[in-house]
Amino acid sequence: MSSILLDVAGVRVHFPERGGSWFGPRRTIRAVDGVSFQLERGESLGLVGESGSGKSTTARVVAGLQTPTAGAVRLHGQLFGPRAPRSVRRHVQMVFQDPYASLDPRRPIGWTVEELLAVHGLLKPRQRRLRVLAALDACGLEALYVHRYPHELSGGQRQRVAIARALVAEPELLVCDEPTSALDVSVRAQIVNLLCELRERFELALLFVSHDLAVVRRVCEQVAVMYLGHVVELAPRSQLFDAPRHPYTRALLAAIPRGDPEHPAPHVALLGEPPSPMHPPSGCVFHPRCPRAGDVAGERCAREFPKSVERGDALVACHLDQP
Amino acid sequence: MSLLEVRNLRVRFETARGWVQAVDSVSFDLDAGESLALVGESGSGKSVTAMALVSLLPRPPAVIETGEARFDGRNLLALGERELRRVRGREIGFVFQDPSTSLHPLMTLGEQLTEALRVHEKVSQRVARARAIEALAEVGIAEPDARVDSYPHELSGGMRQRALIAMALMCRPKLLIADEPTTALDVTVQAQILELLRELQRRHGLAILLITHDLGLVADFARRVHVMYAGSIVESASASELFARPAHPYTLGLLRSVPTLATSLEHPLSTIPGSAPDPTKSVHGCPFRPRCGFALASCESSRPPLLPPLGLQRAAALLSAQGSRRSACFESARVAAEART
Repeated sequence: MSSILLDVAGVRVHFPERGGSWFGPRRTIRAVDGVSFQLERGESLGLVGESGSGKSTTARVVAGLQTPTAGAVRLHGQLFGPRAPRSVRRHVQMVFQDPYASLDPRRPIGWTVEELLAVHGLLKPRQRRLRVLAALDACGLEALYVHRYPHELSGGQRQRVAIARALVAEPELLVCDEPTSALDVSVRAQIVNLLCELRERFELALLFVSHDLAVVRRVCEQVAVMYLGHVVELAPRSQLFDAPRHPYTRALLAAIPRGDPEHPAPHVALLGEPPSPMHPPSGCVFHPRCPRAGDVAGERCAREFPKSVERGDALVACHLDQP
Repeated sequence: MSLLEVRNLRVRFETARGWVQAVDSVSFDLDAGESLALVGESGSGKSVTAMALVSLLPRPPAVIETGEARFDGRNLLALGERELRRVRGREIGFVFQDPSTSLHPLMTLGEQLTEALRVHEKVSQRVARARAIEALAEVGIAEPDARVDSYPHELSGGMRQRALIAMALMCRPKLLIADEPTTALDVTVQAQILELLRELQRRHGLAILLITHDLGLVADFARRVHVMYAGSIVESASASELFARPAHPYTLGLLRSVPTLATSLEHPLSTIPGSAPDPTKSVHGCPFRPRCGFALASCESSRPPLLPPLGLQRAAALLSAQGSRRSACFESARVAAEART
């Protein structure tokens, strides 16, 4: 058996426009438009991008919560999705952004975490309790939290519970969708550290979705930059942050405030805003905002979508960066 | 003279679980044309402070206990509703976090932009419309004469925020209160909006009170910074001083716990243990003490006053030499006193 844990191949997710126009055909929203990547055991990949880039939808497909319109997700070579058997699905667990919304307010924490074991029919009831305590402990919560309700906990503690619930089934892959975005700054660092620690301790593979590149740099060894449903650059952490290749990656990095009043971020890196995924631009989806689109002869950027090619350790989809 | 002088502002809320002291003895000055940031996490009282200044807090449950806010010589907190209306929207403009909920979905941009003008300045429809188009152009909206008839849903998030800024500036205010103006926006758009605010400030000498949780934004934008924790200002300094030499343990903790693209990956991020205190419980001593690594015995018994970090006795004498830097911490006062002897 190969060491590839997760294989995402050519995944597309197209949603019909909600409601739509009264007249004329319904349009399609191309949320994810051909995304491929692989994860080995224990590897971590960060998905970054702005709103509408399709990063969350990609995460939902990987977690088996969304059936792709085209393409396939394989776990250990087996087809994976909402229809996969429970015994396979338990290997992939998800942590959501908002711990206020993802925990049942009327159930004590212990019940919420144990439910996952019950759903998957794992362990006998007595052993389940022990497993729940072990998972809470791994997430830095003492045994007494079993009897607490979500409203008695702080945001950071709730997110710890959500992570404990994901861990209790001993998954191989953890999918996190903006797990630190709803938290206060002083608590965010605690959760970032916890995720790094758990990943090492349990050899977890991690798919980490975030708009915060500094957090992704902390947590993930590989980073995929998404724009309008496409991965425009996928590279190891050091290469992506030290020597970004795609013009969008460069602009994204340049726009992040430095946290240093003596060296403020260079002004406006990119004009305009991402277009709607309902009417993606022709050719390279980034070309209307790309500062270098004019550098390519024959308006190729506007006509033809660039293929992802290997450049060093990175995969880059840009006409300017072809071997 | 300062444009805005806030003195000893105290606001509390009546809740089902008891009184909450949302703002506790907050004082600060803002000069004309200056940019000032109130930084803090949720529940720190930064937004309540700003809302209290212009009486936008629902009363009850809010009660302004004490305080004075002198704006251009008048005490805003003592003005009647009629007089307040003359100030709000005309001399003080606002931009809030979420551009999609702060615009009326059924009114065109032009109708919303001209509303303030027609209330405050009694100008004709034609003049108002012309000024709306001018304002839209100024905030960088393309084709302003067509956009003026658009509805909010036809605009992207960044464009809506630009329109809101245009609206806030219609009556040419002296002060703009911007409460998390870029939090709902993507980073590339955030950079554009910040640049726009900076440019408007340069061009019109606008004073900006920025309210944010994002230290990165503060470093890029504000000249002076007040850090708030549990309703009080715990440190105030110029942005460059604050980032180079934080004097309060909370500021230090915050700065260290925010990952940047430059921090080393060898060690885990340093964190502030625990979480913010329960606002319904009254605190004795320093509100940050349970989370503080530097706490002294005195921190438990009394609340440290906001003083220059120089040693308590000599503080007043040396104030002028140290500018207006202040920190509310016994330990930082002790260290500074030690360094001087």
